[in-house]
Amino acid sequence: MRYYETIYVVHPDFEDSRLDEIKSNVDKHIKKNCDEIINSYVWGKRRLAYDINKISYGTYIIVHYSVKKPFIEELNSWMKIQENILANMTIRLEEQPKAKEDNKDSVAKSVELKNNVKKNDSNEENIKDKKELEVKE
Amino acid sequence: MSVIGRGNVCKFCEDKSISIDYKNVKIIKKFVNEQGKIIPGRVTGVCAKCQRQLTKAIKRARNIALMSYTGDSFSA
Repeated sequence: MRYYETIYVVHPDFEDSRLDEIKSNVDKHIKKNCDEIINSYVWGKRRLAYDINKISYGTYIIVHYSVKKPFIEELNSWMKIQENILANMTIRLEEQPKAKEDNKDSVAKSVELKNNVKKNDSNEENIKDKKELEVKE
Repeated sequence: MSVIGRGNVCKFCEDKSISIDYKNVKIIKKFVNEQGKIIPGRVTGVCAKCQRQLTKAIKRARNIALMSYTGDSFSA
């Protein structure tokens, strides 16, 4: 198993919704060939050390993933074609990258919350039903 | 953290918590001169192993526009 890190730069003026769209698009393309996506997050908006396409700021996005068959050349050529991506780079990692806790936590929490809400609802409904039954009896 | 003139102690071997990573621009830009050239290990005191990693990190940072090739911007 090999672990890779891909970093790419997009236009700084993109809103969150458009950023998510690009991110999901790239993730989808990586997912086709990779084994598992470990991390995918926006690193931040930074000043570029040199202008790319006359743009001096950029939003950096990082993706960590594991791969069985190498497909980096194909990924690079695909990324070059994308209009929204200003620059990209893929490197091989020596060790397995740590999953970002923030992302996981937020996802897990939201799932937990949803489950809890559902459980509570169902509990309340059950209690209501039972009460109704008792009243009827 | 001044880089030059600190004897023969490798900074990265001394403090293992510092990771030599291309994203860690604050650290690696100190090992580049005003022209953006990589300062040799014999000047900075960085050991050969760490110098190899450092060189790689600097070149990666240049590639993705985190550091300048020429040192004319804020990187120097």
